[in-house]
Amino acid sequence: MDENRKTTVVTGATSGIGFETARQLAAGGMDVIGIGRSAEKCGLAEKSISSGSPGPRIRYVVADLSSLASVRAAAAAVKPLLPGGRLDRLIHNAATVSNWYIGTEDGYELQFAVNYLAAFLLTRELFPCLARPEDARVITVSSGSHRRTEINWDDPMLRKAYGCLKAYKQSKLALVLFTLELNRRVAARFPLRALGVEPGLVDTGLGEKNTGGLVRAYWRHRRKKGLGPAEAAAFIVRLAAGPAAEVAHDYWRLGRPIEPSPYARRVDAALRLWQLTEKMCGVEFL
Amino acid sequence: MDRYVMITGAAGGLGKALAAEYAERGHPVFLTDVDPRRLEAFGAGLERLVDVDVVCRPCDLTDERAVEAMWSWIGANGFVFDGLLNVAGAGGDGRFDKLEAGRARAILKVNIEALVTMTRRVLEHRAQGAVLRIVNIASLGCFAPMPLKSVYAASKRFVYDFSIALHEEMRGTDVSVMAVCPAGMPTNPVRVKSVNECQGVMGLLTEKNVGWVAKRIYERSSSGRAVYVPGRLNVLLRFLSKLIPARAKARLLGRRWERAAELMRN
Repeated sequence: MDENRKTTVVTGATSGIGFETARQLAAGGMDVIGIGRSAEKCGLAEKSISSGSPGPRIRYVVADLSSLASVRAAAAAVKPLLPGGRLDRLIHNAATVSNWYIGTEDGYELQFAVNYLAAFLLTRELFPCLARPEDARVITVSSGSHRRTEINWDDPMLRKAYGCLKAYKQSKLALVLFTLELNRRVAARFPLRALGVEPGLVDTGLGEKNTGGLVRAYWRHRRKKGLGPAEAAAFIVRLAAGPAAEVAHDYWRLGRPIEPSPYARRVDAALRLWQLTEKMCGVEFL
Repeated sequence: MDRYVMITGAAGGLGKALAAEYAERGHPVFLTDVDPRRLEAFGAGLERLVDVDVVCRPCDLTDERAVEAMWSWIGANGFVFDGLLNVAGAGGDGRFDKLEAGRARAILKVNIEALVTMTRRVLEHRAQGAVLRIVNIASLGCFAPMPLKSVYAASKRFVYDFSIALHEEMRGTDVSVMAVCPAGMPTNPVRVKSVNECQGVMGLLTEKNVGWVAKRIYERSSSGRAVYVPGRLNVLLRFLSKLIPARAKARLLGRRWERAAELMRN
């Protein structure tokens, strides 16, 4: 047993960028716990990664991140797998889209719940484990689409005037606001940092989840121009595995430090969102 | 005592959206659903976001004794209502001779019997001095006989006719009754797949986002109208349905649902 081995949790780790991130981190010698929605896909991914190179340690936990209860159950299932109760990296990669408004079990909007709320709650539930290592990192996979949008405070679930892209953009903006606010809240208290990364256009099946017609056709056309998931994942792996000094910046586009949108830097919006999120999850966090 | 809006089928897609709509606008809500676990999860999520009282009481509306027990409990606890949204409904796709045993009867029990019972009982527990608004969720499907959804569509026709008759009976009183006839609303991944991939252009044009429909139902419920069809195209379809003979409509729709079912199987 190698004392220096680090443990990473990756959400949405059965396909696309998440799968590649899990595979590369495991190949690089990290212990990886993947989270996926389908037990079947989790099994296949685990098998595929285990057989890849000698000795990668990968396990999967099945969870539906649209449900707060399921997120809590996932955290509870992850904890006993952590050596010494220590978690070094938490990578929030899972995301979905839907061209229809779908209410989750808790009555929240699907994209908001999966792309953002789950990240908040999972971080909170695993926080005691993240507080243990010297250099813990929470990495959120954001998107350039968080730009040129705002949080719709009057109807944060966008129930009354739903739009697929509108909801996607808002959920990604929320994720960036969360990332930066998390840094403000842990600063000087915990040896933990949050990093946001936008992978740009990547050739994954994201735009084909719960969509159809024009949205799907457009995505099928567009995804071909994207980066391969393995290439995109390599940058996330660098942020996760690279030396701390090299990842001092808090927001990245692939391998390049950049600025998120001005709205994402707004402290008042971040605070308001944090409070709303605590309320929605029925928890207090930091 | 607060005046509550009773919502049946509250843990389903439209029920959740209506509950959120009413509660966010300041109406205390009394939610019931057949699935206790889903109702509890949804009720807890809603309660955290709104300032009004959210009461959850699971009940199988096809079980007469359970329904009576619920109303006794309501009476004993002094709940009074200024609204009833009959949302609970059941469907069953497929050929009539292939429906599983008891399915047809279950559809009739939820869509017809339960709706009538709840309407009757809420009149006994209405808030004094307030208008009582009853909203019955029928379906766009009630304007035509529908092969492969024969029992469902006919049961919704009952809801439609019953609501209009009651609306007329209650004219001039402070009870309003409205039938809502929405087209499909994709509210879960299976329904989303059906609309996105299997129902063609008509599916995409007629189906509406459930949150928008909930908002419109809220706004329309005080209009005094007997019928509300959400969506302009759907209003047009209803109009056209009046011009086409029943058998021709049935043939047309039969083909449409055959095709969709075929695609869903693949």
